[in-house]
Amino acid sequence: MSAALAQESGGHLPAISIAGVSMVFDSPSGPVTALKGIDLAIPKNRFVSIVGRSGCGKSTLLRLICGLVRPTVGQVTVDGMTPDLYQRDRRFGFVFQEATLLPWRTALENVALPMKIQKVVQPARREERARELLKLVRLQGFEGHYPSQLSGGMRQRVSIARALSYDPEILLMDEPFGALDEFTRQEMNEELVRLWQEQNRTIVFVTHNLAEALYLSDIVVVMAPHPGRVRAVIEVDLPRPRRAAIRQGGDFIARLARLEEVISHD
Amino acid sequence: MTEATGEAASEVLAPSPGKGPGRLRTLLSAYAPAILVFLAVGFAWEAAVAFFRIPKFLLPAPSVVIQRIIADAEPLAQNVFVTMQAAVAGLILGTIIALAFALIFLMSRILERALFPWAIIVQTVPILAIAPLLTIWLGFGIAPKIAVSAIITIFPILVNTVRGLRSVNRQVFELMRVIGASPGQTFREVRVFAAMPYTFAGLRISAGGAVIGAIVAEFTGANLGIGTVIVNAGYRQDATMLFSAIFCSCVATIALFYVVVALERLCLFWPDARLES
Repeated sequence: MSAALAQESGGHLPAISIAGVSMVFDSPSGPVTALKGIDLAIPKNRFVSIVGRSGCGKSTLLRLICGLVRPTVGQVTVDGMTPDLYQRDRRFGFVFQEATLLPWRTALENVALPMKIQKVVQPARREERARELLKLVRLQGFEGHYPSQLSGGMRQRVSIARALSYDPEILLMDEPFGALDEFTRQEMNEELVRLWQEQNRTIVFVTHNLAEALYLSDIVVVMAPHPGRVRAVIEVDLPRPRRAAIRQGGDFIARLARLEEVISHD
Repeated sequence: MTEATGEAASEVLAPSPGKGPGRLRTLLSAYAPAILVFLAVGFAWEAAVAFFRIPKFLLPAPSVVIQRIIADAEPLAQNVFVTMQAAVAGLILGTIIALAFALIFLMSRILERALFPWAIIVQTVPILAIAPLLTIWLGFGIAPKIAVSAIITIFPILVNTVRGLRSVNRQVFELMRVIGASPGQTFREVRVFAAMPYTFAGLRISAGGAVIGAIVAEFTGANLGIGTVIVNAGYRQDATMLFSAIFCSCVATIALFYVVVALERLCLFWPDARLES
């Protein structure tokens, strides 16, 4: 099963495979099918975006991968394990839509929180490592700031540094730049690509910004709503490293138009 | 943290309150209106008493009250001290009970539904009626005063703390799960801090109530305390003494309130922590 899926997505060994997954929620007005018949293989070390209208189950899919919710039918396998087992052994990195920082902790303490919780790094090393991570996301000098003293973009950088603090092989991102202005968003896109290229990781990135998805990804998964399902899996073979300027190029704009067509086609 | 980060923080931080003359000006503009009105009322009162020749047993002038407070400073201070001892002890006891019940409510919705009506009963029962009962049960010493103070203290702290414990955003719980936190760790790292601003909001309300509770308990039978001073002055129709006692207990209550505020400043160390100004 997983071999066949891996073949489909270009011969890479899948980091995550989702097979026949459906998800039904109970709601006051009866059961709601959030996801239906999802089959998806996410290859290792690739940057995969999931796009689609709101209500197509993108965020639910992300939460299924890391075991925050369980599928009604079907199976999710991460590196050959169930999400729960993977979560216990290695842990996912997760970046939420809002930075979700603890207001009573400084930037440095927020970054160090997972290490403190998991007791994996010696206390003396934690601060040092948190400092390095803040430097990595270009926030040196802001170690002692509380979240409310940082801008939206800076807060999201802290949360990315926090997700990287325990060096996860899989990083799940749920519309992480959705609340940022366009300028900051593009800046963050650059940062993210840089971070991803510095150290290989599998990134699953949920967004509803198509240009962002196209610019960042190796693979774009297009989802359709009611019920949430996969409409298309599109390989983005734009060469890397990509420069910000390619967003203005004719090829990029043509791809964007085609992607828009796939989404709006109903 | 290190000095470097401390500096950086104070640089970028802060709608700064400023230093030197600027700070003095903000302090003045903050307190001047209240002080002016206070003084104006005092002078008007003094002038009215003199102008209408109001007898002292009806309404003593502020100057007369102040003279009486100075003359009787020692017994007044002693009695206020006795009352405040009971109020502070009651406030502490009530806070402990309220926090314990808040935890129980957090752990079990069923227990919350079962026990919350009792919290409302305790809150709504007329304290003036309970005080003599507690005096019968607990004697004329400090015990019934502590009990009444505690009873008044519990409800605001309980209700606020429960709200605070539940004020945590769902995403934060997801985060804690993803980074592998146990429920205990989530409680220590998240819930305690989320609840603190609410608990202190309740504590500020309860501080004044605790003093009133102690005074009310003293009305129904006690050997010492500002409540007994008030009762005795009432029997003697000594309006000057009544005003003196009222003034002293107000000052003591405000002092207790500011002790709570100081404690709050200490505990709520992060910016934007406090619920209202």
